[in-house]
Amino acid sequence: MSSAIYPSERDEPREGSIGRVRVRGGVSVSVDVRNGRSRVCDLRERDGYKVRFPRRSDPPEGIIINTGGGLASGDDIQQSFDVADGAALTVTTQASERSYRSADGSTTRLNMAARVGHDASLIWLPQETILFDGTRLSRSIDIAMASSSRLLIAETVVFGRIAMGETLESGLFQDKWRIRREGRLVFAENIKLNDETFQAMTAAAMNGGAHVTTTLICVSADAEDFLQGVRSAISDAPFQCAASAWNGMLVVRGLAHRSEDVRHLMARLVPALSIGQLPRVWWT
Amino acid sequence: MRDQSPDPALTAAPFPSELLIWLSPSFPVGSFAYSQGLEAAVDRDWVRDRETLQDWITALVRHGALKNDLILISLIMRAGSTADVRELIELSAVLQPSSERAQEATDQGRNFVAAFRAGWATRSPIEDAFDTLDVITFPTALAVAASAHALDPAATLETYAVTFCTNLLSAAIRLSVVGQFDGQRLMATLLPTIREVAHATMFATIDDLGSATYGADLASMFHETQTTRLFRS
Repeated sequence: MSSAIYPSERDEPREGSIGRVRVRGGVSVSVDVRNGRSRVCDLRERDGYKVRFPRRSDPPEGIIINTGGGLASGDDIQQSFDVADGAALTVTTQASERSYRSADGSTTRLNMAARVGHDASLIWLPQETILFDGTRLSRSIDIAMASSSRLLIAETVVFGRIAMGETLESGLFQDKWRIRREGRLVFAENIKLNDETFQAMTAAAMNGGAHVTTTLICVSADAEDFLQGVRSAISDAPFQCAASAWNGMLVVRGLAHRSEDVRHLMARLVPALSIGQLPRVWWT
Repeated sequence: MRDQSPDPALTAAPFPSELLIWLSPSFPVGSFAYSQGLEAAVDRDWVRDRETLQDWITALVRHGALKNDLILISLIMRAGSTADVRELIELSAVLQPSSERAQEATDQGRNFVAAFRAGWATRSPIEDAFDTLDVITFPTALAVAASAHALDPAATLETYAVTFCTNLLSAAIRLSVVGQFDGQRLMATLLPTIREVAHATMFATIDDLGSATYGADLASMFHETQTTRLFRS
């Protein structure tokens, strides 16, 4: 039997699925500049998702709270950010996000979209996403940024509940990133893990048996200048980690066994990019 | 690897000679200079013998760069408009995981276009992409060329897939991972998988794009700081 399944895995809920109320949630945050400081000028919260700004910091540091606790099959989450010219915004999450086993075969959608204006800056540093065995999660990140703006994104994904010895044997994880600068596509990434790939993940070209993957991307006119500093910051990381810079971007990739190791690395890596600080909630 | 008996639907397609010429070592693309991070994987002992080399290449074929290249070739050859073709070429150029992989894909693309223009240009409108885009990758340049000459998509996909793998094999032989005969045993074992994936990508949609080769992406980054190197990637 052929195992290369094309066209794409269909998202077909199984017959007889119970009528659980699906979440259509997320937050939408806009910041602009008033009296020389970045401030939140519009804020919307939907369906169990909230965002808090616990400190009067400049730039504003938003912490997203999912009061529903985790992502269930069929949820459709949309996070939107709009950073006006000259403004800056940092966003993180209160806790790691759990993506549960799909109860009925349907797929959870998790989209982040942002617009970053001229001389503006956006830092998106959510805590890790933990994929439970049997989860079906389709995630996307879409950024439209000005060439004079700065962007930092880091996402960490954990394959299974490591403490319980869980590994991923079935399910779906898709991750689609698109970054446009002045309308021109500069970075794209498509990750696709399915039942077939989960069987093969221990291969060295796949994740070599690692349980945690992390990807950081910094896009700005001077992003490539930080490569040497970033390389020294990651040089003694206790896991496989490397950096590369091209076309006004700096990308760091890592394969780890423990998410704590990635957190410790981020604490050194983020300052090395001189764009902002790692949000304090990461340590509480 | 599972055992596979030959599927009649997946037997060899008739192969236009254009493909054999454009993908032969005499076509000045310069593929011999690149290893797609394999050299770093060998340096880190991730790839050290025929078995680990086969695992490495199989992952790229089934779940990595080759699968995505084939999907993009297939989509370009079935594209409804030149705007779609441009968009797919642009996507291919930015869908690269590291500086060296981006360089590898676009240097070879530029070389392919130059050599193609020297002897193979047609008046097909799809070739406008060669004039109007400043960056093009090797697989997408091949797809445009094959479309301009109305070559068979199945043959194009399979030939590209085989060449992708034989380039990696050549690199592995030069890195002393396997000998010549072991290399041929490997290619014979791999061919059914290559055909299967090439065939599956015939009907692929853009949503099928996606890789799971975190280790290979990482290896291409490690290669940048490797001190002794035979290859540019």
